[in-house]
Amino acid sequence: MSSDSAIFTIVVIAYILTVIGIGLWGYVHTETEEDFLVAGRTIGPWVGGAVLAATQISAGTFVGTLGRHYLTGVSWIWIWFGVWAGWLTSAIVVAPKLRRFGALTVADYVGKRFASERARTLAAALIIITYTIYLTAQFQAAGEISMAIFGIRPIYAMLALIGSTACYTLLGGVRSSSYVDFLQTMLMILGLLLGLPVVMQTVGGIRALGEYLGSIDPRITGWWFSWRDVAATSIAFGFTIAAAPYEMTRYYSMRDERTVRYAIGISIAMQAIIGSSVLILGLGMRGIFPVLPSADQASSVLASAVMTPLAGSLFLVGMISAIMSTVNSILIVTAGALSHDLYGRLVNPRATDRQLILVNRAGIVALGLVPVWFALQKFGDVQAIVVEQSKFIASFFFVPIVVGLMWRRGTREGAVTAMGGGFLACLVWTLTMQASFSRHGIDAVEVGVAASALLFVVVSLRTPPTPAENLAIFFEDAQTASGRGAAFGA
Amino acid sequence: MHGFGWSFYGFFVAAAVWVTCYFLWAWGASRREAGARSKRLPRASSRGDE
Repeated sequence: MSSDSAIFTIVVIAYILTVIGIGLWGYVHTETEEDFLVAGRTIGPWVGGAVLAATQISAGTFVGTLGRHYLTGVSWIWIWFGVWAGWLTSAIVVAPKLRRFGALTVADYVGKRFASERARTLAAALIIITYTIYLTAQFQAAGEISMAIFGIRPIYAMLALIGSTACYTLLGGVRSSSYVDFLQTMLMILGLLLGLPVVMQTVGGIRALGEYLGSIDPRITGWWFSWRDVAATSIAFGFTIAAAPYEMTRYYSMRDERTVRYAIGISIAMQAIIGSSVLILGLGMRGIFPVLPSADQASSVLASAVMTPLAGSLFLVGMISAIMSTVNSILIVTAGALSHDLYGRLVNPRATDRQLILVNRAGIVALGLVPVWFALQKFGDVQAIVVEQSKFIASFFFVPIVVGLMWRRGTREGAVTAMGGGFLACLVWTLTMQASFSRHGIDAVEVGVAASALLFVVVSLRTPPTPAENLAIFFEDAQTASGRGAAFGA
Repeated sequence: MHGFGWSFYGFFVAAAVWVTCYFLWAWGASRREAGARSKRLPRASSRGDE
């Protein structure tokens, strides 16, 4: 074993032991389903902000986005404003009402808001299906990193990833996951910041880098993508973030609405630091290695060939953290949907807290293993899988959640139709018209959300209103307004 | 001269402005909520609400 490998092995073992230690601590402090799913609602703004950042930042950021900057330069950075617009929408419309509601899962909200078990079941099923696709991308990224850097077969890396992540997730639930997420966000930021001075020193500073990259292709330092391309992708990410179940579930674990609001701000600030660092590192890698076999290799080569062994090890741990934190968040939300919304409501409504936690833990293992098979088939590249699943999430969830929280006249029939119709519209557009996207500039997510919104409004107006008692917690004046029919605003 | 232009440097400025504006809004919203809560509290208490 070389000294570089020894340093990396020591850093990774220390990291995994720390993570498992936090998992054991969470296990000791977890007694009820509320402890397991929402950490007893005790998470503060700093840990909450790091949790939201950790769930947002994934393999797509460290591998895909860094590679995208390597290949295409600066202009991709502007999609962050679409992401942050999604966070802003969530902070203004979604988070306060969901946190006030104080449920355990996102499907809980759907079931309560629309007074419908059918809508709740559909929401839970769609969450499980689409997030299985998202998990596939994370496992695939782990496999590619392990193969590129260590020559380890992807299946072993994937099993190690699911083993370590499931370990701390099923031991301590959201409580331990939140503190692990905080650690992981700090490691991601540290790893990226350690890379900046090394890369800048190698390329001779930011001005020299800009002049060199501009001489290769002026689009790298200017606009590789048109504003329409950037706007379309930004809108897709914005829709997704505004109504992302794996982020919304974490709002429930925070102390109150004020905490959620500040946590979102802290998360945006952390994302700005991470996004800026990824931009500069991607550009710097293009300056150092103008021709890599694949843009997705830029981050792995940075860690293994540019940074010092210790800094490179921390960068790699940051990459692993990004993958683990996203896998962890998805397992929490999918296993919660399985145990709380499907098992607890349909199969065994009299289940005790102990039984629900047991089913949740079994679900974490089962739902973690299924995507491993898909990841081994390699149906697409990592960034493409991440983007595609986010389009589907937005297409079936944005309207029932965001519009459903603003418009009291939305009904259960409207919600069910909007979820199913949005999903199908996105699927059909993806399979048919998406290929000519660059010509007409209309993305599947825009079609999915538009179809979902249209169905929601039309079907809701033709069906009986939701009972006032279900609306009361989401609309302060629901008791008096429910009889007025279609009125907008809370 | 093909160095970085406003598409590069402008991002950092815009991101800083975004984060600053967000926290100003969050701070203002928390103040408004606290004010509204303190006005509502005596009435709510008499109804037995939280």
